[in-house]
Amino acid sequence: MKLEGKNITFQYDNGNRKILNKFSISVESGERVGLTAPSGFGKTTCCKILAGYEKPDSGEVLLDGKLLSQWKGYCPVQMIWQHPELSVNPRRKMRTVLEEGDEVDERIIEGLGIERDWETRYPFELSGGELQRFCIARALGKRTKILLADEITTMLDLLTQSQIWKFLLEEAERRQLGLLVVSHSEGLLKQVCTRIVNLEHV
Amino acid sequence: MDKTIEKQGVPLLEVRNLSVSFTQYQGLFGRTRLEAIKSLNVTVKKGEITAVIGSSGSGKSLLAHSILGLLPYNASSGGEILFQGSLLTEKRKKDLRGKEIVLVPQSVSYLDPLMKVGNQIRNGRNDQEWKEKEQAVLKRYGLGEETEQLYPFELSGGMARRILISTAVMGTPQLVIADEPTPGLHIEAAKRVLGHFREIADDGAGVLLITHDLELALEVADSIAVLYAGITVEEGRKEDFKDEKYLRHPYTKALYRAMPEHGFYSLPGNQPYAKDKIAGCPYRPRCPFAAEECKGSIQGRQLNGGYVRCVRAGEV
Repeated sequence: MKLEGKNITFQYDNGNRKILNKFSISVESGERVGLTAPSGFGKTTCCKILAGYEKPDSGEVLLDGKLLSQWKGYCPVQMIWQHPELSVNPRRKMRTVLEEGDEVDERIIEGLGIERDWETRYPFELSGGELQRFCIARALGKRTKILLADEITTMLDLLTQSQIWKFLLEEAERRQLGLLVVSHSEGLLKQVCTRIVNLEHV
Repeated sequence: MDKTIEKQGVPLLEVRNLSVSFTQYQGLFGRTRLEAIKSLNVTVKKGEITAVIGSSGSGKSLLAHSILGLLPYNASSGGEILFQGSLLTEKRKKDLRGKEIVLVPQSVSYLDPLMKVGNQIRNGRNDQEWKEKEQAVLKRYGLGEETEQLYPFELSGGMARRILISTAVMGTPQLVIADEPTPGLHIEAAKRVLGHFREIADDGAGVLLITHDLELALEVADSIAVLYAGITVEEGRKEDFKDEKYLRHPYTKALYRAMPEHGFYSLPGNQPYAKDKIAGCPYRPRCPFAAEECKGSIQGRQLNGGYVRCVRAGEV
């Protein structure tokens, strides 16, 4: 599968600056594309547009040549956000986070080190690293083909970071997922990506 | 007075075997004690930055709250905290906090949303002297004069961070405690913020920098204390992190090797919870060098100019 952003231009309503100007990017099954830039260059915005959460002012997002907005049912493009604590419903137990995914495989729950008794807790009873594991599992539903990872390990300690990435790389390899990896850490991108795009230089 | 203290080699802040536990009620009659911090040791010297590194749940924020005397009512603590060589009692904590010992809090939500930031920096004092001082501080941190007229919601993340630091340095603090001062900032902004702490230390105060980000801490800190599950497992100098062989504890070595530049090594398992009540070394279940003696109580000791709490350190 191939996800393409073509000539995307975007500007927030309150801003006077174009965040993205005729920006193009593509992610194919089996490749892991790194996306880097200083803050304010639209890394997160780019993810939101590619995931269909935000509509570009001009340009289009295509999945296998078809407009992403015209896909019906489960979206094969899934995004994992930077702040897990803001990405889950604070009033529902963690089990429901997994249920929101597309029949998340047992293998994924185990591979991410999610412990059974975490599922009966509320989000505030878990640490950021534990929450993020749930958010990753939720995005890795059965029909997910392309994964957009927006600074997903920035707030985690080094060991948790390497643990999560080791699993994600194995899973991406096994299912031939396409990954877009956003990070400011050059070292991380070099470790996990097959190619790197710098938003500042496009 | 400061000079004599320095001569005698008394550190600015010394935390010895600090423990913090919470009393929790279970059901109607049950009551349990949850030991969140088991044994923390941290030293801060004048003019230096000591970084306290730990993943979430390792007890690093509780350490800050203990020093400031801000623990909740159901907490009780043991061990001792020495400030400038003498015991920091609850009364002394109250007298010193906000004056000689200051906190740079974690988030912008610590600012009053309905008060202009200038007023918050001056802490409500409106005389000429404080106004001049405030302007000087704003200038020092690259903020324009007009900043004082802004409300917190009008600030960007980086500006808000600098305002929080400004509120802390208006007096003449001896010890600045910074609790996760950089999350949400991009790398250049984070480095700039840490640079401000470096300046504070270079001006003679001690800085206790609490963070989960070892890579950033290594940019500015002089010494590093590593926490794991409520215990200080190692204290060393920044230079020790140049090579794995200088590091003392297996957990610190694993952190070193988990850096993307050092192999991106990963380790299964999780940090145990306070309620799990693991006897002996809490890192034992994940440690490749764990032995029978690790199940007993582990004493901290000096090793190669640093501190380590591991019976097998030095041999593995």
